[in-house]
Amino acid sequence: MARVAFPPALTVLIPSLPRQAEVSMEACTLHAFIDSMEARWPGVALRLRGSPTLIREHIRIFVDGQQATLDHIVQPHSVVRILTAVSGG
Amino acid sequence: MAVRVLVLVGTKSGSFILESDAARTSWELRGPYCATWPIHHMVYDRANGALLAGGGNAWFGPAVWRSKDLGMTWSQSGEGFSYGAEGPEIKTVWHLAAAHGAVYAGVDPAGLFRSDDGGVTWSHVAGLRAHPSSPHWVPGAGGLILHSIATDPTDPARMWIAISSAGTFATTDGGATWEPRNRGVRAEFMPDRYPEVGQCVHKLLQAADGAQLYQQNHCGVYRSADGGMQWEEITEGLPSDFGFPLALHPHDPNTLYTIPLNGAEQGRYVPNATMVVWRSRDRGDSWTPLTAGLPAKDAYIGVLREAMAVDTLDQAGIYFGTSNGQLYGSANEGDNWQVLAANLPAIWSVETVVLEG
Repeated sequence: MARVAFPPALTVLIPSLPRQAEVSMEACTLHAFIDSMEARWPGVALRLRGSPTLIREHIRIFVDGQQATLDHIVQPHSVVRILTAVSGG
Repeated sequence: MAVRVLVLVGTKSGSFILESDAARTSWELRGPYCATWPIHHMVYDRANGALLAGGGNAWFGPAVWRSKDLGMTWSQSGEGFSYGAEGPEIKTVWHLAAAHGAVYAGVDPAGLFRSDDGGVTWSHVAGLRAHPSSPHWVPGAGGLILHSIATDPTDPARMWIAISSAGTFATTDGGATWEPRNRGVRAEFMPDRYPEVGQCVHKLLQAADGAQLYQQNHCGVYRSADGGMQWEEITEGLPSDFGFPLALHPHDPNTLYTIPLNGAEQGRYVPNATMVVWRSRDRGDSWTPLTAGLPAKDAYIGVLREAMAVDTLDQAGIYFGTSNGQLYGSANEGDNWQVLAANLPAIWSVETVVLEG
């Protein structure tokens, strides 16, 4: 199970979204991982990707402690932390 | 029949609603709504009976918030606000217009989107950014923003939009193709003072009769009687050619209001720190200052492009919001003013809706 943590401001925006969740998955790119979250919580992909190929300018996604881009590989037991960057607030 | 007058206020930190009866002497404020997101424009869509609030958050991008119970509950969506893999990221929604069963949104960076489901999902009206001038559009101080949408009251295929600072464009085929409509409008900041595109329109509006267009520009106030093919400057009589907001009387196409500011490089305050709304009853041939109830001195106030509106009662109410967070209103067409709310966040937009029953 990968574990994912969402920022509070995003859970305000998408009421069905929890602060933390576990995701059963096989290894995949962060892009595919976001797609799988979109299937579970509609609307989340739009708020993380500003275009089909880029994470939004003021969103930071860390995978196992390392800041990630969309081609970063998420492992089945990874810890994914999604943060609102201080630059955006 | 009971009349409810709502003033819809978009601010830097959320949206607010003020409500009164037809007398418009006593107001009740509620909000903030939209999760305190920056809201650039809020309108009422009569086709769906919904309030729509457009804005953007630096973290999560553009959104249109919807409420079907006059603001008590809200949901949001930004689905479809994208220029695709090759295009720039859309930052925010700047303007909304509901007409002929559709809702249109102007965004930053400048582009036009259309919704046919009441503002839930959006599709790009790609013809506008396909115009050959688009690579040369440059942002104004507020960004490269599509901030004005004027729809024709009878012809759904006819529409005008304005971009700061690219100018006014018109379509007669529902958005498939567009033409610049800037002839006669000065661009003092360009080597050529009258280019085909590049004018810095601050607000574009269509009069109630559908025949007349007006604009407040970075360089003057203008009117056009031929759908923007030719513009005529009507700045004479005003204290400055610079300003942002413009409002048109709901029933009299000859009456308009503007609030000139002291200049682009002078702080963008009202001239002489004296708050004045200017009214013309003759399509801009002459102007009358309206001051009763407004600050006469020490008013370092700016009013942004979307922050003035009229209501639709027989004796029209006029409202404007300031960048200092004050909302002023007049129930008698601008002759007398009162403060309706004194301590809101910086006000970015003001609109009204009158409901009966």
